[in-house]
Amino acid sequence: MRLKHIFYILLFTTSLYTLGYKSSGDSPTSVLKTTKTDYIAGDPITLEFEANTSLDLKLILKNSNGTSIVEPSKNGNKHLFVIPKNFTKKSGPCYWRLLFKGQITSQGILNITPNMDNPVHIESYFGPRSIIAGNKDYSMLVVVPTDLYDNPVPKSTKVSVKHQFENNIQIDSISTGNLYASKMIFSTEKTGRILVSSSCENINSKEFTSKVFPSTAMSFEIDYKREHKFADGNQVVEFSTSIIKDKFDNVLSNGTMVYFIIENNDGYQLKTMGTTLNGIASAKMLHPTQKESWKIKAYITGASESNTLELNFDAAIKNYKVHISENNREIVIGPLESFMDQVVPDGIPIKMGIYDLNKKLVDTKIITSRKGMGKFTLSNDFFSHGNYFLEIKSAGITKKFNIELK
Amino acid sequence: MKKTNTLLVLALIVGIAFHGSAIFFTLEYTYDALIHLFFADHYANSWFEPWDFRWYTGFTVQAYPPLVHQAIGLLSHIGGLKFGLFTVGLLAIILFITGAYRFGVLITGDRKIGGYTALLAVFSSTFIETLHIFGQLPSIAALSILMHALPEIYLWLKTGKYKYLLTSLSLTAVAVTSHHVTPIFGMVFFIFPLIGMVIMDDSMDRVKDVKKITLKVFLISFKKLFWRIVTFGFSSLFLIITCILPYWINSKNNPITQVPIPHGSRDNFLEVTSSGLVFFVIPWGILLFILPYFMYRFYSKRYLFFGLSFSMLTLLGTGGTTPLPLKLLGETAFNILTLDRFTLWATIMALPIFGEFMYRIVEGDIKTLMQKKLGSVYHRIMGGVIIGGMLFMVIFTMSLGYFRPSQPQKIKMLPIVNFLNQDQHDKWRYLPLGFGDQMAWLSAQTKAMTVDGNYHSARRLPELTTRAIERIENSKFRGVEGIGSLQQFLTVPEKYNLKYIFSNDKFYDPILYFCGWHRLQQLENGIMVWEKLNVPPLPSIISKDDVSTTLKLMWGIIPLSTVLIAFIINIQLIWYRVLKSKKISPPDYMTYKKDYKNFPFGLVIINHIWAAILLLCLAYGMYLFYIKNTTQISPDNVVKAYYDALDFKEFQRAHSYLDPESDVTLAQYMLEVSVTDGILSSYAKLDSIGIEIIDKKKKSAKAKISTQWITPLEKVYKNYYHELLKRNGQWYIKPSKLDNDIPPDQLFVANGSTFYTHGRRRITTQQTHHEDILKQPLLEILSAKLVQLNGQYSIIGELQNVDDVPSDVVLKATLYNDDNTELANFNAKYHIKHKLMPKETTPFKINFEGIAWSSTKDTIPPTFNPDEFTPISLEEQPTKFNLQCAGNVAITDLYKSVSLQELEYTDHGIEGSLFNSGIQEVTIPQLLISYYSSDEELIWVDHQFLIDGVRVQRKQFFNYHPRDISNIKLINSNMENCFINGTLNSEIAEKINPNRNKEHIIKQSQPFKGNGYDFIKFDINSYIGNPK
Repeated sequence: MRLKHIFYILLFTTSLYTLGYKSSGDSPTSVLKTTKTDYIAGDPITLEFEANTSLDLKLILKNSNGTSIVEPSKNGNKHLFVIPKNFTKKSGPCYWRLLFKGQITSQGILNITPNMDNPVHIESYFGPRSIIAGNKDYSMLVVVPTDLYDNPVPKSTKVSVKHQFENNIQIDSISTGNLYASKMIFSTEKTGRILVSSSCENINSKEFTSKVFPSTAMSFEIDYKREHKFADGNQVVEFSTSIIKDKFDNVLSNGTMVYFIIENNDGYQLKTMGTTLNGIASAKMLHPTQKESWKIKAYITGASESNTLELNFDAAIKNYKVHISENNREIVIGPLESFMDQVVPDGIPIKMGIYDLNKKLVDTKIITSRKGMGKFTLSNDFFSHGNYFLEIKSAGITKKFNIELK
Repeated sequence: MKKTNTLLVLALIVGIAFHGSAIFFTLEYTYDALIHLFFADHYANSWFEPWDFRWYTGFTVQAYPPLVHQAIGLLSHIGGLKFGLFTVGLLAIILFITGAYRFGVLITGDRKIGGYTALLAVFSSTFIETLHIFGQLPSIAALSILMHALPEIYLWLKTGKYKYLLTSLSLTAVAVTSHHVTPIFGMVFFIFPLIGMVIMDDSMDRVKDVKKITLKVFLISFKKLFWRIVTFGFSSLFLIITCILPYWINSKNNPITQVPIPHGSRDNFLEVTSSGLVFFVIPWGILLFILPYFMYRFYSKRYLFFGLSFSMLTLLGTGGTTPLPLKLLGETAFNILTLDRFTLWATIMALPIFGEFMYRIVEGDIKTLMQKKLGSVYHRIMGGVIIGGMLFMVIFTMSLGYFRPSQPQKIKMLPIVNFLNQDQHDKWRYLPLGFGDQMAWLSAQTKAMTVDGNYHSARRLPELTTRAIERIENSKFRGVEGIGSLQQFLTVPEKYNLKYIFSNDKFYDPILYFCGWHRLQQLENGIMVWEKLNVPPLPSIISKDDVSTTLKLMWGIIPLSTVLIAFIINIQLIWYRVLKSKKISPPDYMTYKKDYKNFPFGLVIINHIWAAILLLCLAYGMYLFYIKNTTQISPDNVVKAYYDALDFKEFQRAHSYLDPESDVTLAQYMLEVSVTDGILSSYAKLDSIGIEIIDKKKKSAKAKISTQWITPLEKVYKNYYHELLKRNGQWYIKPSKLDNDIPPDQLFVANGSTFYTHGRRRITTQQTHHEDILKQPLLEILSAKLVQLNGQYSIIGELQNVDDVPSDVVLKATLYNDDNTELANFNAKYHIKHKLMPKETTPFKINFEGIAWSSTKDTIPPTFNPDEFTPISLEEQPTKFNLQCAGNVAITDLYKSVSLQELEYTDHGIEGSLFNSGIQEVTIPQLLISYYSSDEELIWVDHQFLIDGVRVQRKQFFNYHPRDISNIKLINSNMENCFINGTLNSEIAEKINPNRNKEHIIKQSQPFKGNGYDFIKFDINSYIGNPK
């Protein structure tokens, strides 16, 4: 019961208070004299109200940029609100509210339309800057034509888009919507450069460009070039591809990586690589040092591959002599003679494995030939007296000896 | 009225002329001077704001007492920073000489001896070293002020006149604000003995005879003076706390929790002789020879407490030579303090006694005694020897910085400063490498920030504080911790907005390359600028630890005020003293002047014996040095000398150790050496060398040399075998055989595409136009998996540049657990080719590295291993991963002309050779080895750096030991969270390569039956040290 009473008392006092407050204020009698509501951006706008001079009126403005309060200049009964330039320049609705002692007494909207009398500006973006040939990939042109005050032009303003590729110049007309206009420029089948520009209301944008890069490579042929067919371990064999193209007959971009995988006699996959220049990639390998037959295949990984090329090398060195000194401590190999009985170029590796009698490897020595000869010295300091088994390997020819070091 | 002290005037003139002119050639090359200059620059620009963003991603200058820095900063407004530095340097010199004079007079009560002390102070090697080699200006300033304060303190204690309390406290305050350690330890080591001396003097006054001073007499005097002592003690404690209160608060808030940084003064001087030289022999210098005299004098009754203090300082200064300093100081203090300052104080404390000694030998009783007993010629010779010894120490100390420069050559900073100001380069952090302490001078000249810094007590990043390195900049000298720290900054630079590296040391080039950095340009001062792509610029607002305005004001106002106050209070007395405008009675301590007579001859003998022992030790040391360093006296020495010469690239010297009968001329040898390039010959530092002489005969020997090289990438172990010969009593090395391989042609032609990009096409300070921004190349991740091998998580995979332009690749992986909580992230380091040609593929592996030794419990390995890896400790099991891959157009480091020429599986690994078919010399080839399972899935990625380079058109052999990966665990191979430039990888794959031929990868690999895998594939990444 008590609670109820308190509630009634509260309700009563509150309503009294509100009524009292309302009645105690001056009821504002302001009348809007300005009738025009539609403006062009940049036009000066003044709102005129007629009200009692003693009243302290304020105008709140709100547009997409923000909110501001304007104080009037008074002239007799007239309250003149000059709308600041940053509000008059901005297109779109500009809401106003007249305030008196924190109370909204009246409100309205000013419709400001973009100023199309003066030349427009064009803000445009184009990307990505490179696309892949074949009518699927595209770059997108986004055009934002704006008026003098950077207001987007009205919806459905016509924008013409021009793009050039080789001898073709195409003009399309699009219209703005959602404040901008956009156009997808699809790639061509040919590689090259697409130049794009746009214009709106006789104002032209600057030039943009997108490069059309070739599409996925098609299979290609490989070939080789060498000075002779002998495995001398010195000359260089060069592999090269045919001009690699995509399915639209475009030559691949310079620098495209081509891997050449070479399978040798023993089934090992050797590898060399090269990058294309005008569609041709070339890569080099040294001639092997022994009789070999190579199977070569080139890859652009994931995209294409070449034919398999077979390449045989004949042995350049058919045989060589090994001379062992009297105390067996000096082993001279050679002369190593090549396919025309000439002395081989310096640098043929000669490997000698030294094993003890139990065929356990004691040491491996590798030297390279000089003037066709190679010499191993088994010095006293390193190899004590006893029986050893030697395995000499060079140019794919293995020779074995049992010696006794004295 | 007394005469002007000619000796003091002479000391001042000589001191200012000598030190004042020498500092222009030494101070900038010292360890510390440029750091003080940087701090001064901070105060010159923002006096009251203690936060400086330029070092350590921000630190507070309240970590160091500010007086000297503020003085330099203030003076810099007149004539620039260096003007300030040298002016303060000159002031410190004057203060030191006059301070030494006053200290000398105080101790001996004789103005003449004071003059001697001042003159000796000018030439004391400890002062020369502290100023000209260490550049410790604040320390010198504080010590000098302390010496000025000592007479005042004495007078306060002795007379109880309040004006002396005031003067002594005013000077103490100045000392506190210039250096914190000096007054604190000064209290213990200088002021306590001084109190003891005052009490002795007071006792003396009462009993009139030294011999009558007993403990009881002493205690009575102590009681009498007690309140004066307490007053001074508490007042000075109050000053120590308040004058640099912000410092104490900062120390409390940011306690030094870092791993102790090794310092030479903590070494065992007998083991590390270089430390012994710098931290013991040089500061002591000639004083070492008359140590018995010091002991004799310091342990006389009046100086007894100084004697105790002096002995303690001497002992603590010996560092790690004996275990005593460690026991006395405790582990923490031992590891934080640099012990050389104890030696500094000991030698300074000895100066008055040394002055007294010189006085007595020049014109006192020792002279008479020696002339009588040993003849006047001997006396003169002795005098000459002492003066000669002093001069030798002076020249030796001064020349140390010349012959063994502690700093790299002076770098012209202007081009770097210009570079940083250009094109908004200062929007990113930079890192200098190989600059030495000059990095501080660079920082002082620019607003740009670095992650590094040169005041290690203020470091904040755990990457730095958990390692015992002073700077990343000289990380190669700090072994595993150094390179480890550096690698973290290089691998994840975007974390620190680190985009530019200024390299003054070629040593770091390979690590930069393999971490994905590339050379941008060489500045005209020879500094190479390295750049990393895809690093975001610094945010415009960076956080800082702010302190209250009160503290800022205290820090800005108190220090210089203490100087002003001290000046005003003390100037009156100095004025009277200097101008003699008012008769002042001589200070109290002058009454205790000792009559020097009857010098005990026994001491002369003892001192001679001591000097003889020292000389013997010195001679023995020299002999050891000779034996160790005479290069060809034994097989061991010649091998060591040979590798030392190679390490320092002194090829002429190296050649002189080769067998003269082997007919290898120097020209031929140089040819052979100059053609070998590679990580060992160009980027390695010999870390240790183990020489095993096998089979030594009279005239020949065989040596197995196991070397360990520090390279920026890995630690390299290599064994060499040499045959050694003895000819004419000298040992020589037999030259080893060379590769005879020669390419078939003289001239080679190579064609290829080269690339160039320019940042902006029009010169403007505006933001780059969007049409001037390069499109990011498209990459495609072909496979990616989260795997676990031996407890360590890695993300492995393969990716391809599917665009038509070369691309730089930045790969960042993040690990998540089942609840999608992020566990760790890291970038790809070595296990990737960072620069890819169009359509090129690369395997990759991302290891998750933790911050090494973040818990101090982990023991730090004692030896260097740059490849040391600290796996991150994850709290939970990672189950998912996210891979963010960014491509940016690359135009450099695109050399791809190395082929896999030969291959053979043998019992000791896979043997093969690389052939360089192009026209650039490959300095460091790297093999990336991908492991595939039987179902042709990538399961592991490994790498190997080849030790030798591949010369143009030649082969290089390698040997690779395949890994055992049988216990590899695949955790996740879902690629739905792989992104390229922010776009889903699957979308790019669908768009660019919808019909990808997945067979190609496996077709390029080798069948190889290994432990846990069936195929392997080799990829080659080549680093070119000198691109042509």
